[in-house]
Amino acid sequence: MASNRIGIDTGGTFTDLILFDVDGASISSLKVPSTPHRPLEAFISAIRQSDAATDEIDFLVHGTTVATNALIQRAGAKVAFLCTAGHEDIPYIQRVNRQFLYDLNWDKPKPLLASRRHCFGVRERIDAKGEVVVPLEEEEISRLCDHLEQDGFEAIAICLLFSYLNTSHEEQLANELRRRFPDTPLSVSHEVAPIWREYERSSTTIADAYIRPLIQGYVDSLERGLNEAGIDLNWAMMKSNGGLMEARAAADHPIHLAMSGPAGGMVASQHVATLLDLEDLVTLDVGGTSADVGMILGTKMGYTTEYEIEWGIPAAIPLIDIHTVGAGGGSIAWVNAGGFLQVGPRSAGANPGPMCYGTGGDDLTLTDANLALGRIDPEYFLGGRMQLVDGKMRAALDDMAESLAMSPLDLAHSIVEIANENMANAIRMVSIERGHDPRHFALLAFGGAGPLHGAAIARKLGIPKVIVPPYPGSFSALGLLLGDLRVDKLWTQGYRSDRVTAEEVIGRFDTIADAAVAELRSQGFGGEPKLTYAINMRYLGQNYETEVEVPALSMAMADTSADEQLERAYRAFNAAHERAYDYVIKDAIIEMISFRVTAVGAIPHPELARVSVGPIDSGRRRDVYFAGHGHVATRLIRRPSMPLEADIEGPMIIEEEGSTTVVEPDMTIRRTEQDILIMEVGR
Amino acid sequence: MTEETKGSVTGLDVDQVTLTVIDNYLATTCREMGVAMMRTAYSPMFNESLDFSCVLFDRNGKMIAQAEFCPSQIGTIKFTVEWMIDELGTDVYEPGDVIIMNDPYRGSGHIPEHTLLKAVFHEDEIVAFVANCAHLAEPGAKAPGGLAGDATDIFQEGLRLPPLWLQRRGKDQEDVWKIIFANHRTPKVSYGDLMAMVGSLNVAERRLSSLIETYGLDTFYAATADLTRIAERRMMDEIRKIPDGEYAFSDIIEDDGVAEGSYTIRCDVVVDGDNVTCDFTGSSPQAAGPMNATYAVTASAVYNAFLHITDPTIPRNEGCYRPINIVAPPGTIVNCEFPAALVGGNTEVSPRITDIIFGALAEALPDRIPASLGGTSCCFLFGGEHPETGELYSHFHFEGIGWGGRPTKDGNSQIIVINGNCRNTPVEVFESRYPIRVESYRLLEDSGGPGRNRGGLGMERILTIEADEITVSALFNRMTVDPFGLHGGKPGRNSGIFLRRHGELEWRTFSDTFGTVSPSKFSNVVLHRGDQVRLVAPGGGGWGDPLDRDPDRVLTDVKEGLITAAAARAEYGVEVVRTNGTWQVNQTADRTTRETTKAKP
Amino acid sequence: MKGEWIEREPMYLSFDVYNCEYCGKNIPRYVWIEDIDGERRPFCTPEVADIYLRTRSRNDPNRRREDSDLGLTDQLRLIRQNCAGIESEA
Repeated sequence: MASNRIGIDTGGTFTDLILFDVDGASISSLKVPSTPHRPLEAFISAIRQSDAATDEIDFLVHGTTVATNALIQRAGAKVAFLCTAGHEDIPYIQRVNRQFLYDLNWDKPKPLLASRRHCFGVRERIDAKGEVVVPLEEEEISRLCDHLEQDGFEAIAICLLFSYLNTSHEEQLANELRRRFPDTPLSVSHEVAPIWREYERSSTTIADAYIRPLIQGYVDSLERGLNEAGIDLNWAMMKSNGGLMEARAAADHPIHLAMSGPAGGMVASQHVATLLDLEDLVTLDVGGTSADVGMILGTKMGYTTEYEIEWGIPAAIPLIDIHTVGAGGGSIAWVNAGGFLQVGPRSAGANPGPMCYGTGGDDLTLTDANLALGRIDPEYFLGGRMQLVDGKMRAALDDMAESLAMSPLDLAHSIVEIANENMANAIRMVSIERGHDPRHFALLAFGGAGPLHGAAIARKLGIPKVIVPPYPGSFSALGLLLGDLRVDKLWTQGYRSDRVTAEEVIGRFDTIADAAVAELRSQGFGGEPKLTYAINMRYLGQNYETEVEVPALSMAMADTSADEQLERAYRAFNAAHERAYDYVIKDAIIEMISFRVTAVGAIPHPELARVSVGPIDSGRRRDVYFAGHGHVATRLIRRPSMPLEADIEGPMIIEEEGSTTVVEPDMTIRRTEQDILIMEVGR
Repeated sequence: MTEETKGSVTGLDVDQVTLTVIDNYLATTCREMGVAMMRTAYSPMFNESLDFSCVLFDRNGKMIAQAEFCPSQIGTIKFTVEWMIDELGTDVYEPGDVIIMNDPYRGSGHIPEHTLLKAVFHEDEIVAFVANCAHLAEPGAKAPGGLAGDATDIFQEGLRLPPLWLQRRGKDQEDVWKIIFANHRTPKVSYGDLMAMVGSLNVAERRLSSLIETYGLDTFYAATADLTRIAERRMMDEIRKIPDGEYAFSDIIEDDGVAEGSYTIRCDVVVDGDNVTCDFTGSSPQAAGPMNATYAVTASAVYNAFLHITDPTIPRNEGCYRPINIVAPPGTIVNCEFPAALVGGNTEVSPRITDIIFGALAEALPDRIPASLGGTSCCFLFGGEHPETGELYSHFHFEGIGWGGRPTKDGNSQIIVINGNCRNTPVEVFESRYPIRVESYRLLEDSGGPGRNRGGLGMERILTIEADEITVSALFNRMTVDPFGLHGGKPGRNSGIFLRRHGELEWRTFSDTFGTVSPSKFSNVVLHRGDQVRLVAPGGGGWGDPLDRDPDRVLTDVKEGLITAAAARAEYGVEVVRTNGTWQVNQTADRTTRETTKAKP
Repeated sequence: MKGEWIEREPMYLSFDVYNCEYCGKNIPRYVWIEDIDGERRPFCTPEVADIYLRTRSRNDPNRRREDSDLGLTDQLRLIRQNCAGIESEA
């Protein structure tokens, strides 16, 4: 009977819920204010307010920024860091370079540790070949444990040199620590991030320990709350790489939740791309503080492991490759020392917010500029939940405009223009960096402010088509329901193509593939998992690895020998290298550095249902300013009332509860039967 | 907004939104060049250390944009490209040509730094130049790693290339490549690195072409001219804010690896309205060893100082350098004459010069100038035949240093020298490539100069050799001359490089063991399995009287292990005791100690 | 101000460059020669020559640049002599 699936996305200001009724094939959405001090309240409140009966909910996916916020706001646990003796200063020395070239006031980032004295050296050593040079003795572990007992740590992180090659010392240490301190959460580097480069691995492991108690507590409290509310269901959380993880398992891998916020939006974007038969997309998610830019290439998302909690504090987890730029609705407009107008990266956020919110904001923001240009309806903001006021905003606009010798209208337009250029630059960085010309892409715009700016940005970049999906303001929540269970298993060890024994590599692949599938099953997945394989490779001599997806590798393959399987992998690497960097090195020796198997357990997803046209909403117009056209009487319409499958000429403004879409003059827009808006940008 | 700043937005040809857009676009292009370099190059110098810089120039060879790369390279590349274009002329380039040059006497920083230059064409006309300057770890010098601490002339420092065509119309000029390969110990690495540089130039070319297509050539020219004008005006504004006057300062280069004796660098910083002249007349004659700076290196160091103490939002292009004049008499250590050795100039003399400018302006700008940085790159170079692969390897290793205490806060610990922006090589990468074990790598307590604001800490790294033979060289400074403090702050602790031979107990200097002229500068010393090397990086100088430091901050430093209790008492006059495992300030003793310490002559 | 531009072909058989009288920089190819007190002096640009003329009252004679082999060590002098020797043999 259970036939409802729910996605809940908790943001700073609002909690979005998307309800998918499997039988009726319908989707509905609702927003409630977030309750950051008692997250459970908003969570349960949203479920109750949805149409689902508690015994009809089959599956729930939760996306939250609680991990990210704890990391950024430095609100985590007191961590003890254990590392190889002689190298206790790894978290303090870091990588030695500077964020800003000419800034004498810049401070080196502080690690997520409360004190340098919380780093404990372990007398042990493993060398670059994975061989034990100094064995780990029991007395040493005992001495360490005695030390740890005294200081009352809330979590422990272990990262020993070369543990990615030889896990025995870390395992030995972890076992004893779990025995001695069963109630203290423990993060072990070869479990968290089995990669090389000790600073990056240490930083990731420390970050994992730092938020482990918090995430475990969070998951526990939500579970209890659900039980008390009589809601008995399977639930999962979305990881930074867009995969789902059963909630209990998520609590054991807290760092993987670090960037799960934007992940939902990317997963949903990939789904829409497939739906529309679009291979290549640039995604733009513009919220209150920042804009996230991503790419879908050949219908696939890009991944990276270069996340930074802040500059200089990395967390090397697999995450969807998203470039964030400080341009959002709350981005502040200001004048620099040279008398030049700038927008962002500082933001008024939601609190105190743009001036027009009337909640005490004192700075002109992008939202204020959009209001001044006539693009937002002050009485329908957030579906009427908030009334915007423009008195203070107009005065501020006048003042700044005078100091810059422009008209207030020019100023508002310039603010939008500069913000658009910042976002366009982010798109350029992301696409051109990979050798792709954005003119061959479509732009998918979502988030509260994405559809407001999508058209202008597309025009700047020569992108021919803009897509605005349904529920653009809650697109991330929709994405939660479009994810699949996913387990990644990684193993790092160096091999050279001229010296490798193919059977050894492929045999190890089989081992980690089995481990990945086993973990998937332990999360309750009973179906047939889909496995993908990737190898991090580089030409011998290069220092930077490229991760390349390779055709399946297994000793169980009867028709292809181990050597041939590796040959196929090398060919894939050469092709990828040429695509990205324009050259290959013929007959080069290739080094393989790390190996990954991803096991995906597909779960049923909602289909975007066909919609019907809502109540008639015609004849509303407002003057909106467009560059090159001046003020134009522009048609306004509520999205549900838009006719289907008809090409409509701009200018036009389409309003809905979570967002506003601007169609510029000389563009046309069409609303599909599945409620997707497609804009042709024209010249 | 003042009249002056208003002035900077009037008299321009292009509207300010377009200018902002184009300025950001150009800087982003430089960053993208950097990303391309980092991902494809071979040597850890490029992709771990990031020792390269990508810069854009207009059709006359004047700089129009840069990004967050290596300050010393950014300063010298201005002179390098100006020279290349002057020497070759502007009508000899064709689309697809790539020129290479590394001659320090023609404007490069030192021989390992190779500059690649490409002209960008639009409809058969040259509209801009793109350039990339990068430090090749192996340039064919007398010592592996390229920095021979006892070189006596430029010929020992590597293969010296005047401006040459590396590619013509996109086609490799094989003869030139062959000469390079024949003279480098690790030609494959050089090949990979140079190809990465060429790739980054192509990225820039595409991006510039795209910009010109969007905005048109006229707007592009007008915008870059405007941005240059703006940068110049704003730098002039900043200089106007410095009180007019003549400020003198000098410091020492302790030795040069070849001769006995030290060298003085002296500078008169003359601030006159909206321009400044840094006159190095009176500096010592040039050194016999490789501790010389060319004019370009000296100018780069001076620019570096001024860019650090002026508004960081001034666009970085030709214009911001114009109001700064540098006078460096030929034949002195700050403008050495051919064929003097000079490889240490770019790594060692450069930060010294920057510190001298800071020192000179310390009285004029007391709220901006920090105490002396550690001021050396701690260059340790090594190479040999890898015991397992049999292949030749060679590496240029450097360390971070403590930076000087600042007017409002302590100095940062373990940051690269001020003229660089490189990352260290991770121990796991280092040991995977080279037959050396890193026994320990840690901050050194008490190495930060005492002050009201303490200097940043230096470090110590102990290495054990794991090959039968390895050839090492070094180029360190501040081993005998401490980084100075300011306004009553005390000097930071000095640097050092020491050897402990296999089976011995004592650490000794390389002069003691091998008879090198200098303990901090030497080349081609052969070490063996089991020998250990100890590298010590200096701390920064202290700012302000240490007796004025808040006792709570002294206590925190002791708790964190950044200073010892003994130093707390001796230097800061604060008595800290440990009771039941907790450190505390002993209030009564503290006051007496401070008064007593203050009363001491 | 009376001066003119001269062009020196880049040389590869030796490395002999003019240094600017004001700033000391090596000049690649185009040299501005300014006639000062009857002597022809090299500068990198006319603007720099102008600065020199304006500020040289600040320069006292003791700070003026001296002979061209100022600062050469014995070793370097020997190398130069050797190079010159080879040329004269050719």
